[in-house]
Amino acid sequence: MSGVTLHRTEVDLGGLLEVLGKHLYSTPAVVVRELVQNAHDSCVRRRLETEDVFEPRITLEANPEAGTLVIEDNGMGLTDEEIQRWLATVGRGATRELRKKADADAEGLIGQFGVGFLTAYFVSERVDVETTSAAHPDEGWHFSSRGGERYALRPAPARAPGTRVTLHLNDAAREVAAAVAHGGLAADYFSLLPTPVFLGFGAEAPVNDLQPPWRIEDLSPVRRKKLELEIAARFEPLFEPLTCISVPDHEEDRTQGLLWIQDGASYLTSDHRHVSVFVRGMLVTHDARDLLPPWAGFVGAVVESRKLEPTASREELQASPTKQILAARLERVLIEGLEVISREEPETWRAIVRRHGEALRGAALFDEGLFDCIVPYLEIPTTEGPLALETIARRSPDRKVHVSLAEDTKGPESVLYRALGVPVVQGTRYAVAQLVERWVEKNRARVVRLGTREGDAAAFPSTPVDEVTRAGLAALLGDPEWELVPTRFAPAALPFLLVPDREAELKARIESDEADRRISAAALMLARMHMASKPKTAPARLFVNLDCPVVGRATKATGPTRDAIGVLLRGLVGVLSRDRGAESLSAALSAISEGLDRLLPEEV
Amino acid sequence: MDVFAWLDAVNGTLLELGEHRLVDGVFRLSSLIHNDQHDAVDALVPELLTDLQRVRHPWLEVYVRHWALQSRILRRADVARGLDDAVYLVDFASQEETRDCPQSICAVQDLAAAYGYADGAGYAEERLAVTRETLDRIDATWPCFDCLSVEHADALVRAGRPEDAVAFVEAQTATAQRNGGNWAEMTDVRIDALLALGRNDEALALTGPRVPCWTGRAFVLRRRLNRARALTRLGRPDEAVKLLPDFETEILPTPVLYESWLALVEDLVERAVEGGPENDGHLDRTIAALAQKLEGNGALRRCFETTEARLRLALARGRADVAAHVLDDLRRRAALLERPLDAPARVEAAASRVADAPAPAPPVIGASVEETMQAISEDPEVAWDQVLAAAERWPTSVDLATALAGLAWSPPTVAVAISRVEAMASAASAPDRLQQILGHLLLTHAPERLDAWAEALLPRGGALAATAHWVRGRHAWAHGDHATARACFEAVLALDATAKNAPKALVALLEEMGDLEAALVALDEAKRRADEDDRPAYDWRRMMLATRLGDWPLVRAICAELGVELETTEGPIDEVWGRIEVRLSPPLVEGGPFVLEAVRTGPATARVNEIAAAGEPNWYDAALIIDPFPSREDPDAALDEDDEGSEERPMIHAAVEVLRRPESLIVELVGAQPEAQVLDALVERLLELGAAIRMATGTWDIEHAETEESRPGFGWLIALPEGTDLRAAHTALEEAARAVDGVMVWPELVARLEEPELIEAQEAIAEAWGLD
Repeated sequence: MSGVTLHRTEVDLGGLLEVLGKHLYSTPAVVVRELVQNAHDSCVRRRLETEDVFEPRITLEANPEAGTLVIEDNGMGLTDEEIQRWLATVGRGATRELRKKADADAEGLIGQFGVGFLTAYFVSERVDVETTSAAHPDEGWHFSSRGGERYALRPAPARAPGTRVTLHLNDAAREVAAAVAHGGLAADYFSLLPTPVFLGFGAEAPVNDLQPPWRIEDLSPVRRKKLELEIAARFEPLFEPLTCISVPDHEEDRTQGLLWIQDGASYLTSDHRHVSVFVRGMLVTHDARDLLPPWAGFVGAVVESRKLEPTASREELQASPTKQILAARLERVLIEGLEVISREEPETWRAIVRRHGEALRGAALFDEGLFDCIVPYLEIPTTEGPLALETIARRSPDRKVHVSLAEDTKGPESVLYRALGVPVVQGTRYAVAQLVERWVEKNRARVVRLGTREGDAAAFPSTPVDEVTRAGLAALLGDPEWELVPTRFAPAALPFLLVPDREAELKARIESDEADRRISAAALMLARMHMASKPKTAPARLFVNLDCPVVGRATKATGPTRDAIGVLLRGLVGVLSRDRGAESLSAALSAISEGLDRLLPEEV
Repeated sequence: MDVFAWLDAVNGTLLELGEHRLVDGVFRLSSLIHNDQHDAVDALVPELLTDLQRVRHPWLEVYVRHWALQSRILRRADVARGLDDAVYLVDFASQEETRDCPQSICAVQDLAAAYGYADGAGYAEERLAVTRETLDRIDATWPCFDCLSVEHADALVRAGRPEDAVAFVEAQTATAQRNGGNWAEMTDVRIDALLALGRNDEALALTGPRVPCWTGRAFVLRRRLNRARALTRLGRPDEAVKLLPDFETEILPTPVLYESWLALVEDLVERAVEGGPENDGHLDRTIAALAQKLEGNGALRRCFETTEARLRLALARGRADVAAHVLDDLRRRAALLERPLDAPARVEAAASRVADAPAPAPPVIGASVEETMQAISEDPEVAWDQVLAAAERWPTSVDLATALAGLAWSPPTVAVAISRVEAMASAASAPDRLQQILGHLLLTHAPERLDAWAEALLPRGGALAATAHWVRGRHAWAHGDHATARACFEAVLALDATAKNAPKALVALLEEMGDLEAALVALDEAKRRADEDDRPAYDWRRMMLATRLGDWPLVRAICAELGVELETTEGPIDEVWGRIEVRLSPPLVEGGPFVLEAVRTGPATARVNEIAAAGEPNWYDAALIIDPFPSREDPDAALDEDDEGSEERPMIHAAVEVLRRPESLIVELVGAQPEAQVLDALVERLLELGAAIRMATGTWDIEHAETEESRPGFGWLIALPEGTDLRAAHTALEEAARAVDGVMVWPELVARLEEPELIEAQEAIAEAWGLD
């Protein structure tokens, strides 16, 4: 064939493609990204290297039936020498060389590794390239290769400057043509690419007409807000965006974009962070969640950077100082944004708290600024319903915030809490106990940790009584195993509360002979060593309510009446006792019955 | 058994029961620990345990308790809080209902590790016995084979038997490899042991990228630190410096890493590597903080050894004086060890080194206080010396006393600062300000001495007695003793006619106590003492307090003082000053904040005129006391020129008290839209009755469900204040409804009239036209 020259590439392309296909790229669809990126860079190159007046344009035409995919641009095009230098040499590319000369960031160049075109071989049985360089508009070239190891290059009729790449897709990659025809890929990879991309030669409007608000300077606040919500909705896969926070450009990371709060309920540590990152207009990843702080599980983001660097696969970001700087900045922007919303947009703020109150509770623990801004409005679960901490403090005597730390919600403590008559914070719920601890430090309040020995003692301080009363109480209720604590609490109708001492219970179990049968000897030795350091205490404390009229009268009773009341009350205490087995419950009920029987007049 | 496969199966069962929240938390627990997010672990675990007890799942409870201990003990070395839990778990995991749980055996590891961190050397034999006993019960296919081998090997290292540890790990690794088990973690102990033996080449080889390492953050950092240690010892400190983690973010949150980090730092300091850590006062403070943390955590042997390292470094930089203070700490910390072993001998050896060390060179100070202050070193240790020496030379300098108070940080320096300032303040020519600085020092560092200090000052009267009262009052207030605080602040006012902070504090205290009358009096006093320019702000605050007290003559008097013109001359002020927005926040209202439209009715009052949408708390017609100063600085902030129909947003004022919140009846009026004159007449009539109306914007159609007849719709919210003639309102609405063939409903009002026929009729219309 006249003018046709055959060439061999200088690398083991088969091996390289296997590396690319198996290890570098996750999907054959990356070829679209790589070739569109090349097309974009070619347009930039024409703008930089010529004085041509032209409207940059990239066209994709897919034919799923025929298994072909065409990518055409009206950029710089290639000379025969450039074809040989760039299309057939791994690691070299026009952009890579141009980047050295130009301010790549400023000019919007994307490519950098010189391996993008190789992906064409990875998905194609044959690759055809028809091109005319803007530097030599009267020459045309046709490059053709099967598998990339050998290629043919021949002159062709000159065409308008630019390049048309036709991929004859292999069976494994035919889905790419269908995906392009469907339009899904366009939305993903180059939705923010500045060069217009058209789907089909007849298309009148580009598919990437998205105008992100951060690229538009003169926008009214309301329009900016609307546009931000539109863009957020486009990138958020799971939820509607509730409200957005702008990420302004910054010199250090040269990144801008927006954050949004998801309009879906979050709880505990649920993590729906979704972060899309574009580098110079081209998508790198939708899963850069580590750019947001771990506590922000209810936040999404899309950012466009001129400084972040993708890895060679261009499907992830390189770990770099810039990435760290950006992550720190996004955290600041998010916190400040939440603060502004809490101050300026109460309705939105209430919606955020309704959906993400729990997650915010956790988040407040990780940042002092966030704590100060959101905690006054967060509702904390209490026995009296959800309340703000300041409300709880005001409703508690001496601003002592009572926090329940008992894991067992059915234990006698629950009776005790109701008896207190003040809101008791449910400290076992997510992040609540720590939040309260931190809040009281800053707000001249104090915390009483119910469910601990110290907390219960603070809530029900021992009331000094004379010897006669103490002896009367001991005679009525005394059990050598209990610690009798005379005290006063509301409601007066409640005569006493029996609160187990968990530590004493554990000590008893570990030191019992029964433990030898179930715990291995060496481990038990260590456990006993620790428990031996604990003082021996009663297994339970019996708080006796001196304000209860029955208690007052009962201590004054004498003779058989006092004995009968004692039997009855001890039976009641037995029912309240925490670890009652069937036998002891039965004994307690028998005691109640016996006590009542003794108290009832004979004739009844 | 594969614990995580079991966990997946259990989680699946719980999901079927609808326990999504619980499963989510259980699922995330281990990853939170791997990422060293221990605050999140602490936030999550109590809820998980509560819920697991609710659903009665003791096996998962063992799992959660074990992982909580991994966070508490194996990452944070927090034995003080973790040992009780570890013993509890050993007991709990050996009950009949839990002993077959695949995670139960890990309870032993947790307990052994707790003792390892409490005192690794002291309890080495017990740990060896426990782990030997447990390893005998399992084979290398168990995931805990690796963990228990780690505990065993670590016990050997702590017992001073690193060679045995290396041999043991090599044997266990070979067993694990033969059986497909894990051995990544025991490699780290092997590296520790090799470093202890000086076999640095072998240690370095094991820190390479091809050697398996768990992916958890702490594991990765530990390997990196050990690599850096090996590199340093092999004469490659430049490479090691590059591996030094960021202290604040990577080391500080994870106390189990302190030991490796400190060993590396000591090695680097010894070699004076460029770019490496400086052996200075900053490093000293950092290590002191680490030791303090370890002591608080009950990691007593590590605390002792960290203190030893601090002492070595102090001597290395020629600071025998600092080392002498550290020696006191070392002695005290040795005494904390239940099994001291060689600690007392090490203390004595350290004491000899300290005694033999030359005294540090005297600090360089300037020729004057000013010169000294300007030349203070950035190294806090050197700065301390400079300031202390200068304070001895210029014993009445307030600047130097202030600097001393600022630089004092450790118990010894605090003691010196207090003693020095005390001496300075007691000098005959000492300015009173020195007693204030002393009071501040005592308040911050030695509150138990406050009373004695104050008692000594009170007889001297005047400003000194005022200072004593002031500091005492602050202490009392901070501890909730309002009565004492009040007495103290009032005493300051009586003693010191120029005091400005005390009257302000007294106002805030009295407001907190709810004694508004007294607060108003104190505010008058505060205003009297304030600078001329500041007084109007006090007046506005007085205005607010007077309004809260209903003292209208005083409010009017203040208005007159400020030149605020009022329409009336006596009685309560209830005027129309203009449109504002009020912000209601907790504790005035729960679930807030709410911003509502209102009318300002006076200098510090407003009345809400916004009818809230259905489902929102209704504050219509509520009378509020407001902060006279708006919280929104820029009223144009939210103005949008493109947003048609929007007007300039008014000022926002914070509501501070609810004077009255009437129970208006809110009625939703919906139906077919009548002609304009009908609506006009309805509006007129409702306004006559005292109602307020909020009209919905936009247009829509309503449609009859059966006939599909369509008509333009409309909707209003009507607020009928207490006392409104409801029957008359109903009649007016009926009249309007007739104009649209009765296609209109006002259910809340009809319900209040309690006439069943009316209710039924309206329900029928609502159903037919889809109006509910």
